[in-house]
Amino acid sequence: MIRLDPITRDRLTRFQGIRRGWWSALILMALIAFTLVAELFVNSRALIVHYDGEWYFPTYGAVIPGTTFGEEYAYETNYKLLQKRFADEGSGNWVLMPPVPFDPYEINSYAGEFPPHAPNFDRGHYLGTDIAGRDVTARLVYGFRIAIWFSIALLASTYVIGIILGCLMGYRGGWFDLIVQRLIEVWSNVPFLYIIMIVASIVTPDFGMLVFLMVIFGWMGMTWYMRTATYKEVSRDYVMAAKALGASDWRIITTHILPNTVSVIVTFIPFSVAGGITALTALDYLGFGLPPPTPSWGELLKQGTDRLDAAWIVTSVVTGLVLVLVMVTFVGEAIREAFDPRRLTRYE
Amino acid sequence: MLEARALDVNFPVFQGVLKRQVGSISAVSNVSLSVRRGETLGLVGESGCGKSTFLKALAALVKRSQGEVRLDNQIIDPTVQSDLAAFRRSVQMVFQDPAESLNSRHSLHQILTEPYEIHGLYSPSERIERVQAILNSVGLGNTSLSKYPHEFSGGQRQRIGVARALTLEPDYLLCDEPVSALDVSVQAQLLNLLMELQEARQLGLLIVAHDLSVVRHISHRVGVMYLGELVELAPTLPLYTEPKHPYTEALLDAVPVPDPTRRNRPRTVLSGEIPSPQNPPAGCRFHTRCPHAWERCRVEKPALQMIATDHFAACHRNDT
Repeated sequence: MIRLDPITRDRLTRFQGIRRGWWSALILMALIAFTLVAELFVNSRALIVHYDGEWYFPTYGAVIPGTTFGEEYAYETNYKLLQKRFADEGSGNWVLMPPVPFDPYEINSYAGEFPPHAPNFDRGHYLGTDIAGRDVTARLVYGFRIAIWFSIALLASTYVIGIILGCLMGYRGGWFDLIVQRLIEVWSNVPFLYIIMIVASIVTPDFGMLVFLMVIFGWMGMTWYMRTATYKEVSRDYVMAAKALGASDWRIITTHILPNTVSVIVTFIPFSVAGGITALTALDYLGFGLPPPTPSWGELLKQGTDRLDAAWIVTSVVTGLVLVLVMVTFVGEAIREAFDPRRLTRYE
Repeated sequence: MLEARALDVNFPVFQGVLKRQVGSISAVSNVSLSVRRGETLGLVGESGCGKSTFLKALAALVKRSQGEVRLDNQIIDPTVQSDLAAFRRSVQMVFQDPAESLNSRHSLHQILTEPYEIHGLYSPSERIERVQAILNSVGLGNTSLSKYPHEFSGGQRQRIGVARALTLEPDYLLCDEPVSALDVSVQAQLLNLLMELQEARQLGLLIVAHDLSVVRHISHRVGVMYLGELVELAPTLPLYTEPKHPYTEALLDAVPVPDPTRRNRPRTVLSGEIPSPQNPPAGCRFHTRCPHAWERCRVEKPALQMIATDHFAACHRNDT
């Protein structure tokens, strides 16, 4: 069990007391955890297949060819058809499908209809399909998974750079600080969107490439804040006291300064997450993000705004986007409130 | 003996986009002082006179521009790690505001064992034993080590500050206004504690303060600083009864005397502001405010001279 210092404990209690933010945080956390096992809930592969006394769990693992279950094809089993066949045969074999039996790439066609298909509970398209016939629920879920992990990866990388560099700038000061400051100012003026457009026209950016590009042009923000926070802490007497005891710079930074600047870092996290999600959505909307057919909210939004007659598309994605962003903002607001130094100040 | 010889501290002043140095503030100028073990040296002066900066330069916390620090006649070079580590174990500091100088995120255990961790001393159980013994000696015997600074009163916190300084068993304790952040009632307790500790451990104490009565109470010798310079240095009694520098006279005259019959005593009252240390006056730095200044004071800088036994002052008036 990690022992929390009283300031952190105070802040945590206060955060939990702000119910809106606390519940939003719990729900978001659950959603993020859910994306890790999304295959169990939204997938075209079956959860369990019971065939001729054998058990199969196709969700994770290699492709199981249709021949395994007595089908005539050697490509991946179509479990929805298999389920129907088993039901028709009534031979005691059965297939258990996930609640949403579609994957985000699967194109569903129905005789006599053109996509987009409207929501239909019998078919399992709870939110309908997009203009290519892909299930909107599946694309929303997997689009969210990509967006949230994109944000987290972006946040982690920019924060690592920002914290290290900002700390060094604030701690060392002098010429190093001056040069890096000017560098950041120059670098901040590089038009990010143009760079992305140029890069996207040369190569197709994948997930890692896009995170890399965003980090390269977005690491500056945290650096500023950390620099200021470090400057503030360095001038305080407890740092001087640690120096007087003979503490090394490394020790001073890691055990004294960083724990005291944690409020700066934590307060910015929700806003960075929201920023990451909107950035990716915007890029995808413009067509400079992840290449199709990657499930993405931006692409779905684009389809939705193009086809306002198929209102289920735009409604689903806008609702999803708004809900997630509002929850993230609630968390951010609650953290800011809980970390407000004015409420922790004691006058003696 | 802990000794400062001709110590200078200058802070550069930067201006403009390129932060070019346009001048420097002479915070401490040519100060030589020494403290023996078992002795208390008080250092007084008005705020901004450089007494705290001198202390920090002596403790190698602020970079000194010139001069040297000697510990038992060994020159200490703060750029040599081994020198510095030995120096730190021998010379420790107590800070003014205990609320600021204790990291509020660290428990008492972390605060007091950190010095041992830094210097790699003793096993964890030995550390706790030693910390307990030191807490006993500062009068915080039955305190739980898992408490945090905010759970203590101001006086207790300063005791923790003293305890932390004592963990490494130093020979010298440099105290930067150790009681000025405390209530008057607690001040005396802490001063008595410092004196007890000095007795028990033969500590050399260098105490910076602006409260003259505090300094008189505990010091064997007293130094007076003005605008970065040491203007007078003498054993306590002669300094308080026969000051040899007009600034010391003025300082002593500024102390309120609780005696209505002496309401109309003759007093030296200083007028004007303390000059900017970025551009200190030529000659004697005090001449702009000195009631006795004459031509020579504006031109020639007086040297610190011995006037009586162990009594030094820097004033041309003493030549005649």
